Amino acid sequence: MIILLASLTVFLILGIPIAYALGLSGFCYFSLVHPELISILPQRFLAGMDSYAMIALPLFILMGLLMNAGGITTRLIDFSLIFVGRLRGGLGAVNVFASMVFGGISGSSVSDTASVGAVLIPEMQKKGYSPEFAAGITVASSTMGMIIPPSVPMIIYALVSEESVGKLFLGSLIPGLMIGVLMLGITICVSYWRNYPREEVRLSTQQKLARTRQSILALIMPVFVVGAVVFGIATATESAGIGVLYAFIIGAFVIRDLKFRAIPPLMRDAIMTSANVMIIIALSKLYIWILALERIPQLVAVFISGLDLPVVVILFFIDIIILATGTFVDVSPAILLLTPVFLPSMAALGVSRIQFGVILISGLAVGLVTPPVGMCLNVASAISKLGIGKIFRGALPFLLANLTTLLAITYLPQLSMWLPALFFE
Amino acid sequence: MPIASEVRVQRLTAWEKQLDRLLETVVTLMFFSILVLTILLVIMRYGFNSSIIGGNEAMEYLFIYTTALGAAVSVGKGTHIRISFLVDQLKGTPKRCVDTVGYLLVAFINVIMIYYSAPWIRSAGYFESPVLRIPNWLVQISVPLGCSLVILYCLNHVVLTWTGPPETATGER
Repeated sequence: MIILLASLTVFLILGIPIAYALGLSGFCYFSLVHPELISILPQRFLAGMDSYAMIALPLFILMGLLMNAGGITTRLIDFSLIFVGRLRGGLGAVNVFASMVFGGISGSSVSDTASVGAVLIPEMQKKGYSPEFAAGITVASSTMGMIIPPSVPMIIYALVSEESVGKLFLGSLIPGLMIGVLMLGITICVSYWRNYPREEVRLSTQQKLARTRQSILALIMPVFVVGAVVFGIATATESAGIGVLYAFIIGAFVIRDLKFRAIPPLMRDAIMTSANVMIIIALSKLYIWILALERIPQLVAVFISGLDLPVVVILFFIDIIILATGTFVDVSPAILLLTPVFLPSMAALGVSRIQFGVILISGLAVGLVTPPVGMCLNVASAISKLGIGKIFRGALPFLLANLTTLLAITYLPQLSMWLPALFFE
Repeated sequence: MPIASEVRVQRLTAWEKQLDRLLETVVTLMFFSILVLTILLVIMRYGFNSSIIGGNEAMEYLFIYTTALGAAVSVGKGTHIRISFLVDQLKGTPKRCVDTVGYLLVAFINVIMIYYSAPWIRSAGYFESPVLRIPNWLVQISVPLGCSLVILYCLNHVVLTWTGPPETATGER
């Protein structure tokens, strides 16, 4: 096991793509410990790529890209303005509210930062918000994208943990919304303190209805996509496929901002992003297999049980490990590395697979906003022309919402278990 | 830089871009087929209480190929997920050395995959898939095919790392 971890660390430090670092460390392990099993490498590799459930991954990515290219972002921002624009720090609140809704549509935090940030960061700066605040709130609120269903990381976790995608989608809904509500509260407090403006929303009821009508078709999409999975009408893959068709129809024929010539590049981007994640999944299967061969998850479970510490303390340390991993490792590989190691320990501590999934994804989401590898920070930096250090400082107050929610879902299982129990039992 | 070496770099970059374009087109077309099949399967089931025989199987096989080929293109473009902040602190020759070691190691693991694929395909390739009756080797071959392309990209980048301008060293174009 030491061979596996030491070689993996060296390969990762050398900057080798995570997928191939996993393959190389697996090869080192088999060469030295089980040379008789080495011929099975290509079989495991192919088995890792062969997953019907994971076809949902590029389809969900494409659904978000189509919605974004279809001009939904500006409509969602207009729609959010009606509801929260009049609050102190109105544009900040719009940023958070739009991210909550956009999170449900795109399932990706990075695309949320790119699309909402491109519109709102310059607009907020024009209205007197500090650049750090504008960029910070954008990246922090975008973390909801990977928590509020449908969520791409949740599909990856479902594959590794063999848990139902529908249950996981439902389990992450309340924590996702909770982060949004807390962030709205923080935005209002900071805005009172810094005297940020409210937005003038002088619209008649008819105008408000017209704006709502424009947005409603996009707003019902997550309900429709998640509902199809939860109620067993369609598998996650089928529901994502129909979501793509729906996003195409809305973008091309209802909103009419989606150009046909833009679709092939979006499809290419979606499948290439998916290939980058799938190759990690394929080679991580090797790593998971080695963990099982060495009985590492069981040993970790025995070790944790033997610590003779209260469960609350152990869970706190697990949260810290998740946050630390998210700081240095990207979300998808972090899910693939941590899930098989900790799942049996969590079961021994009475934490369900659904609750652990929600804890894991919520904790790793914070890593998107922390240097040095925070993907959202890099995107916001490109938009705002600020250094990632400054953006991180701007995001810090809002990360309180993430950390509070992380602790809440760790110690209050009802927050992640109530909805799945309501719909599935 | 001597003119001959500049021409060589241009040629290597140009053929790699052409290969990228070809593979991306193939992968995008496969993805389009997967998308169409997914939607058709739902429509057939709820609209006509029917199905497309082997539809799911075809989707899975196409998906395997999109991963194998797409991952190879990502090696060329340097878009794979990796922890790069330590390596990115390096500059000049040390950076080139580390990048070269990285590419050679990636190529090495792919050589290993190809080496062990051959007996595996020989022994299990003649089995047929349950619904479409496709021989297994048609799917298995995606492993050596994808790995060969990865090796090709890696070797090309090793050459570019030492002969081309600094930005080609990390593969980010």
